[in-house]
Amino acid sequence: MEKIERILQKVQKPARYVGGEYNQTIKDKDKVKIRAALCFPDTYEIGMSNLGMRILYGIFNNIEDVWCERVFAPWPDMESQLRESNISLYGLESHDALSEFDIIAFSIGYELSYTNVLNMLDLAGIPVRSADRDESHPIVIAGGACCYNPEPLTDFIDLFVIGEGEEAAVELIDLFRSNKASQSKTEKQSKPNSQNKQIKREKQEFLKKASELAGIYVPSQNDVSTRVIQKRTVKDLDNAYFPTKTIVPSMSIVHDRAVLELFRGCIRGCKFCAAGHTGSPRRIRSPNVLIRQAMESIESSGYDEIALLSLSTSDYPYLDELCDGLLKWCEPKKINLSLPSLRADSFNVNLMRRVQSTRKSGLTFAPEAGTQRLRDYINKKITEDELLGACASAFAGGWNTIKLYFMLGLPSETNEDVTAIAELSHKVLDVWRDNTNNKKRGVRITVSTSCFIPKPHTPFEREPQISMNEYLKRVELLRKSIKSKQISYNWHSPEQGFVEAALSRADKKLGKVIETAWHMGARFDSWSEYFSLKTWLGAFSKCGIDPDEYATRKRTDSEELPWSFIVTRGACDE
Amino acid sequence: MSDVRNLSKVRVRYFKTGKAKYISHLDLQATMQRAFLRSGFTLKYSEGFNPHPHISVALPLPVGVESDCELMDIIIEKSNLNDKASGFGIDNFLPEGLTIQKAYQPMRKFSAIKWVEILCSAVCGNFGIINAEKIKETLNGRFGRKSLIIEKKSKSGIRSFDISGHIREISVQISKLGADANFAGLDMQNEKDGMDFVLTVRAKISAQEPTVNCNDIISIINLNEDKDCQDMPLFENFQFKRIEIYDKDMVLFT
Repeated sequence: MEKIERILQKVQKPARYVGGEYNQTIKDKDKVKIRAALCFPDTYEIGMSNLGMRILYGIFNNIEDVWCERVFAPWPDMESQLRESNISLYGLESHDALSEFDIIAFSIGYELSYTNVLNMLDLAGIPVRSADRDESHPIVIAGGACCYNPEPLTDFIDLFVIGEGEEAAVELIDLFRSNKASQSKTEKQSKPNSQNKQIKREKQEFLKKASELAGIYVPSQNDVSTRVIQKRTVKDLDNAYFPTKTIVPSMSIVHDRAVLELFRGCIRGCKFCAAGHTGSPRRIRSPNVLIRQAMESIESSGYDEIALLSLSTSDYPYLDELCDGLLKWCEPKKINLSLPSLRADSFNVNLMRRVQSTRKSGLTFAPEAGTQRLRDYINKKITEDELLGACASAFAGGWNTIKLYFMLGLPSETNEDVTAIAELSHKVLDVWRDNTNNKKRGVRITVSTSCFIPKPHTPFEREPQISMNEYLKRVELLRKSIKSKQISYNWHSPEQGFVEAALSRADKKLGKVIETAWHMGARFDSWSEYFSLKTWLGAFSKCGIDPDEYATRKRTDSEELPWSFIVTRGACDE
Repeated sequence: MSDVRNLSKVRVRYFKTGKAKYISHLDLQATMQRAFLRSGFTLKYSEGFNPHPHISVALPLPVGVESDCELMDIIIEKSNLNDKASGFGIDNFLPEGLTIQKAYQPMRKFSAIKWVEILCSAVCGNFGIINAEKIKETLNGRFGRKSLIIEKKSKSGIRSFDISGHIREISVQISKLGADANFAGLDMQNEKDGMDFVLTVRAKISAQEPTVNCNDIISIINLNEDKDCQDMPLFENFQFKRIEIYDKDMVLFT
């Protein structure tokens, strides 16, 4: 702690690195049998906003002989202080070095955090490659959305949990415990000089047995040419663990509010959407359970805002009933409800007015494409009338800020589809003129585009991404087509999207590229201030691999895909 | 602790030590607000477009500085205090390092605060007892000057500032490591590093109009253009703590 304190004087936002928040779990390390480090390869503010982290933290710590701590990626200023002072990356609760833990578990939600995974292992003095680790090192496991294509990480990760992790987490702990017990038994029976060999077996034995569990992929054990891995799915959300008594950070984080998870999965089937296709089937949590969880979360946290979380809030079948129940309890306590992820085709202005009685923040709709033809093709079946209707009622209801999200580079997109985005946003502006009660206040319409990234397990998994140049050409076409000054246009740079596209559909060979990029200094690639395309292109060329082979190449129907051994259709699908 | 149930404006005196010293002034308000809400207190919210609870902290405490004497005013609604909030037992609802000392009805405004007593402490290399005495003398000499100009960085650039009238009752101590119990963290320093002396400066500094801060004290300690002591080591890794606050007549402010 003293050594850590000294470097904390020299870094930004030291509260990220000390722990001590309300509701953190502290156990006696001499009394617990298994120590787990739950690692999130991004900053504290982002990791603490992640519901999956909070669920797993709660599940692990509910097991009596397990103490689970949190670890986040240190910002580069902290990284250099740690390295300079020779301090290992540590758990926030105990401040013990990561190498003292039994299990290191990464939650990996986006590809551009891969280099942070390697960096965190390295900061803990743990070899990044599984092959370079021995029985003295912790077992390194990974789960999260990225693990639906685990291949690029197989060099570094001992064991993957595919799909929803809450049940597998408990099974793995049980296996770890019993394996440890049976190994130490054989150890006692054997001769003292063979002790090393016995210890050596413990980790290998665990991985071997774990590879037989459902939804577990152990690259060193599972022969995926002969076996498929079915993802794990929690069937009954009402009885699944939900963290209502959870850590309240003492610094502001990205999602600084209580959350409710309305449902998992999605009924829509938009062809580009990885979350929708990997999260099936849709499973609903009952409104009465949600209302109870809301009350418990607010009471135990002291938050004054609660957000409804799902892939598409307006698809929750009991939304009115839920909001009525929540508002009855929230309004007198001045607790705000926030409803993200609304679809324009089921936008309910009365509901919005009720939940946002105090603050009228902007509204965001995601039509994704400009023409009906393309929207139909990608299966985002919202019509222009529905979108304009939603905008009309929003403007009439007093909103004057609307954001519209689109993707450029969707399969089959033509110039006409691109310019139609401009036409659509002009129509939204006309709708504002016809419906607003206050023209003097003006309107802010923001159009945003990003470059389409084909994702594994979606109907577009074999489609090419458009080149960065082509994307910029379409951006320019759209920019010129937007004539009104009341419409502003933001576009994401295609560079991060290009690397993400390559990593998303990577095979085993890209592990080398990730490691090389990390060696060349890549960190926090999801942060535009740290992302460097030059570094990544350098890493690809050093490894003799063409990134376009992965990002912009069309896969034929006969080509075997690296993730084809992972089955993401829900176990209880129709 | 007096029963505060029937009060509306409440002053809270609390410790902010250990891990809590890293909570920034801005984040502290939200942290306290949440602690009150989960303890069952209903805070009074401001009227207007974006209602927020009335919480006001006396003197912003820089990140990394500990304090034994923080003050904060809150307004709680008299009507609906629930049973959980009997007395003022919200300590169990606070993060590590924040501890309530007492709560009471305030008599004076925060603007009457003038002086704050602080402790600055740094571990330094072993330079022998004789040298230590000389360092102490030198520092006492510096702080005793009629005019003590330092450079202060502000938004408009660097400006000179005569700090002498704004520091009182300064005392310099150099002691063997372990003898000073004010900072638990310092006791544990490794002797192999050759760090076995602790420099402690205790002073009352002007809290507002003008504000003297802990770094101003360090800049005097490490005034390197000075010729008064040639062997003066550079003191680094200071730890700071607020001890007490006073009004303009040096009477304890409550």
